[in-house]
Amino acid sequence: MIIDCHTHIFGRWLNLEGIKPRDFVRVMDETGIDKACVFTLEGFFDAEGCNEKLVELIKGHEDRLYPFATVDPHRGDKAVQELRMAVQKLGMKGLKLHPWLQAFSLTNYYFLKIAEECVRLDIPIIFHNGSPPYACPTQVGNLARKFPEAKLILGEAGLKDLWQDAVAVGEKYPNIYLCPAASPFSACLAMAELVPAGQLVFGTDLGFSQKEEVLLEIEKIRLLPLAGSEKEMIFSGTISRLVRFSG
Amino acid sequence: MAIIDSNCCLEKGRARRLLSEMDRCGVEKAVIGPSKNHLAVENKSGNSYIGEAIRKHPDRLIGFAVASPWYGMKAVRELERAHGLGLSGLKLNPGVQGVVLTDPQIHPLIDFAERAKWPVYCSTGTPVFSMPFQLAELAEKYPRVDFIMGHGGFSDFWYDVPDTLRRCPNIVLETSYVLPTQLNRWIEDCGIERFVFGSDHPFSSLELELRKIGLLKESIDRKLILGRNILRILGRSR
Repeated sequence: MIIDCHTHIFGRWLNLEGIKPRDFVRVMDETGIDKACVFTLEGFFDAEGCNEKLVELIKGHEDRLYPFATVDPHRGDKAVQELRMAVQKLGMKGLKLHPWLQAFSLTNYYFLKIAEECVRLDIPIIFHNGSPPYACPTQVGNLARKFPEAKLILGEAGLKDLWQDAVAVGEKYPNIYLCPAASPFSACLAMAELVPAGQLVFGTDLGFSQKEEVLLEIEKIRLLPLAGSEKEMIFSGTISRLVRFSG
Repeated sequence: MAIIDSNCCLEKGRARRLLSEMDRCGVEKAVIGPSKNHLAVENKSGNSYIGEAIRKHPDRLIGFAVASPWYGMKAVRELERAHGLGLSGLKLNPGVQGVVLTDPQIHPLIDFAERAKWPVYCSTGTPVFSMPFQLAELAEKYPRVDFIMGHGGFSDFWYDVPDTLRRCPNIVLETSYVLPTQLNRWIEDCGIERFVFGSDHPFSSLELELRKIGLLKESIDRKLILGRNILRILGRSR
């Protein structure tokens, strides 16, 4: 079983056109992905109504696609209400944030209210990660220290230049999970060696990336010198403990 | 079709490992430069083992030299020594070497590259040290030097890449880490002549980087990106 914990479904944003849900599921079939956690893209620029739009877009594919909400932390208490609504009324499974595009720091008090709400709702937060100044692994590490109960996923585990930071916070904080999407292969090897498979998850950024990237990401995990059971943890076991796929 | 890897990092004593990886992947030649501490500070030792590797395997390996810009004229003398060893290009890694790409401290090294007709490879994508537009400033200052934009600004500077290539005809992009769908778009926009295959072995996987080129649009001329473009640049320089 392969669960892709990092994908984007969207209609159209400026000159970018998203993959239509039917084609999206076809790519999943062709590459062997069973389930995907799906996020918005346009919602990082304008969060208004983006959760309802995503849930509407994936209608008919609820057995394969599991939507995550996005909120704009700058909206303060309203963002907290929107998050609650998205999870409790729309059935969304987690929160995706892109601190770089959304231009907020993980130390801002209005974001901390959202983090608190995620703990109350018992949902994971997945962050774009690896891009200074707002999306660095050690910033998520600092958050993990403040909220040991939060389930915090690095949607990219530090990318090309900050993967050592991602490994460091993964080793230190048991509530940080690393998704090595677009990571150098040598970084994946270090993650496999130093971070328990129970803290590693699989993701491809499909939607922003395409089928070709999905094939490469699957191959990267397959090539790791790990036991079959550990690869299963990365492909599906770890994320299944973080996300309530049923109910 | 001869495949040439335009960017490998060689760690001391690892030439055999690189050659067997090249054999396994069907790569005929690779451009190699010193890695890690040898790239950052122990340049003399780094250039020496690169010199030894190319002497032993002249038909397989092409050596690029390093010198920390902080060594000033000593760095230039080290490049002259490396030239004597048969090295034929300059590698910069501003993040690892701790120098911002627009710092004039780098200029004596580029002056040397221009005199020696060496291409200059520069890792890019690491803020604040080495972003594509910082490389464009350097390339515009030295229009007669060929620059290779390592890693195409990966991870986050993809917006800046097409303008950089359009501004600077003396820059080509090296493909390691860059996603295949991104490459497809850039090649369409900027022309296949501006792209050279590189793996950044051993930090990325030569096998996966090559597989990535295989996933590019079928209409893209593999011969150019996998070998002919870098040969054109190396041939012009030497």
